Amino acid sequence: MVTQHPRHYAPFSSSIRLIMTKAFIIFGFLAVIGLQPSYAILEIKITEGKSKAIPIAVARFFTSEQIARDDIGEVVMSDLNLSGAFRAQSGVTPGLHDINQTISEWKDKGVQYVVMGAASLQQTGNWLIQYQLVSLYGQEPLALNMQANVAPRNLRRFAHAISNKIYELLLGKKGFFDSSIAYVLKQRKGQHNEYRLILADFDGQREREILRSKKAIMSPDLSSDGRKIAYVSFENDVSQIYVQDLYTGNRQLISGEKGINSSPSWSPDNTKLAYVLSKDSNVDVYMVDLASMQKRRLTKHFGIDTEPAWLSNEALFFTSNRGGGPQIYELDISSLNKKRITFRGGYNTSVSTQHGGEQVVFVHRNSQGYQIALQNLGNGLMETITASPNNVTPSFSPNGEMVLYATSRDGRSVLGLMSVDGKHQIVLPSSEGEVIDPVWSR
Amino acid sequence: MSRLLILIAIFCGVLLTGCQNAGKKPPVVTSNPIGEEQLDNSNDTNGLGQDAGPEIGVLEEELPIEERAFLEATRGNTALLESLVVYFDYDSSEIKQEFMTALQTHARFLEQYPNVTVSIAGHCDERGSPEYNMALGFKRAEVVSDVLRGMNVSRDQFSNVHSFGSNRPIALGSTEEDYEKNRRVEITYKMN
Repeated sequence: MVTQHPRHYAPFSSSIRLIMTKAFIIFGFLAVIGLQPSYAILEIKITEGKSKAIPIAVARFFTSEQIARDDIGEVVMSDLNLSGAFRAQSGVTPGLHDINQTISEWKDKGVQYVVMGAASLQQTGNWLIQYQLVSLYGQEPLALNMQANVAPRNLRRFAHAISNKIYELLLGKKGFFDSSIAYVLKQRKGQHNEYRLILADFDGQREREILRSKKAIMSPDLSSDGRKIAYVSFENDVSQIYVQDLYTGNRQLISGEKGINSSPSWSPDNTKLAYVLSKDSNVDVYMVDLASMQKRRLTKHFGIDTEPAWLSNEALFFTSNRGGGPQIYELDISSLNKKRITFRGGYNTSVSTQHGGEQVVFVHRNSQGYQIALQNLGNGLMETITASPNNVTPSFSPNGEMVLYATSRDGRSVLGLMSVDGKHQIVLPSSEGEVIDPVWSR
Repeated sequence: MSRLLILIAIFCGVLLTGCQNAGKKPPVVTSNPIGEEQLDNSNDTNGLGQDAGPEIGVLEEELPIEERAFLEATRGNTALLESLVVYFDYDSSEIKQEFMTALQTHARFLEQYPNVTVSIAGHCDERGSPEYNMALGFKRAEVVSDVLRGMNVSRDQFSNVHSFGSNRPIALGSTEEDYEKNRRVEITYKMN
């Protein structure tokens, strides 16, 4: 029950099924799905745009004769648009050509940069991909000129890597297009609910099922090395914390204490898990060293202490109602000193950090409902960055520039994606069920 | 409707645990099918088993005497069965005065049947943070168990004090009325 042999399907209880075999997991990350026509659970709908976005044109890489499921140019265009930092439009013809012939045409369209690329199929079955980023106004027009050999199943990942290069070169910030998200998909199946823990690319594509259960799954958190996921499962009718290796499928019960076992959160160095137990009657934050399984209690208060979120290996934030309503506190792990950091409103919960970052996001209740708020840790200034009534479980992109969260659309929970200033908002509606508890990889 | 379901669940639970326990208990209790007429002599349980002779098995419908008594007691005890849920205000784990009488009824019953245990589960409405709701649900369950313990219910009679957070709503809508129904603690009886 606790662990499983990597070569076999999971010997879980009958209500739980692990879908991935070892091979699938290893190659699945390199996009086995990329070759097959599969429908996406999540689709993208941009609800609000950003005005200061960089205008860029991205041409298709594949000609109409070259059959590939994911055109690299289209994926790059979608990535850049999702970030909100770019306003990407499609280029006209696939292939590399002399930009001087079309430069005035592009300038007329208000474009500042052009991405073009070409693909040729190799004898090995791989694609040789060549691409260029051209600046229409810079002194050195050729900003990027690269080529690579790419296996068909890796085309989508390669496209995300190109998006990262463009983003980093033009904005001077680290890209996040190669990151993953995890979420829980809750569906009604006859008389009961079915819960599926899903891992996907940041744009909701390439979904991979990690766990399926008839009982609730909640609070997924991905380790910063991308190897493991921690979550809470009610498969035994009470809350228990598990850690699952994404590559081998091995699963370990981390905590099954009496009462609640909740809110697992990876330390930045992935050696520890902070979580919440009620075994000693109070609801308090604990930490476990995963190598020794040595437990340490971090808070001790008769009120609620929950939702730990690490800022560094030495400090974390948590929610506590010790002052009345729930507020966010900072905790120094060596001294156990606590400092309240939120003061506006009577309900601030669900804090998310960027490791070593200068700001946090959390859920802030105001007269419009549950909002996502951004707070600067330096000056303490807080601003709400959503406006619809019901927004929960925010999570930073790895570079801290975007926020993933759950929001309500037509009475259903869906994923929302936005820039940290709240000006660029996207919803990823689900074709089925409710999408809850999203989290972004580090 | 939900109350009816809970009622049914309790009776089913009692019947089920009754049968399971019948097999597990030492022959002194389980080997004796106890007839209706003997039910009245419930004080004599220990004596009945002593000279029971060879184990002859228990028919499914024949429950050990304590469980029968429990079933009889709960069947007649509408005050008990109509108060298996305690409701709470928004973001609160404070027990409202109106539920104290009901909890007193539960406490007296549990004192009377020390072999009976209860599972106490806290729930929240769907709004706000799911993880904070897990903690809030536990707080609600804990407060109910604290009140019962204050009324002399033994610590051993709580089989589980836990929380489902906002994962198990009773009312599926999103009106204030639905939320009120979902902010609750459920008391579930079990025979041991």
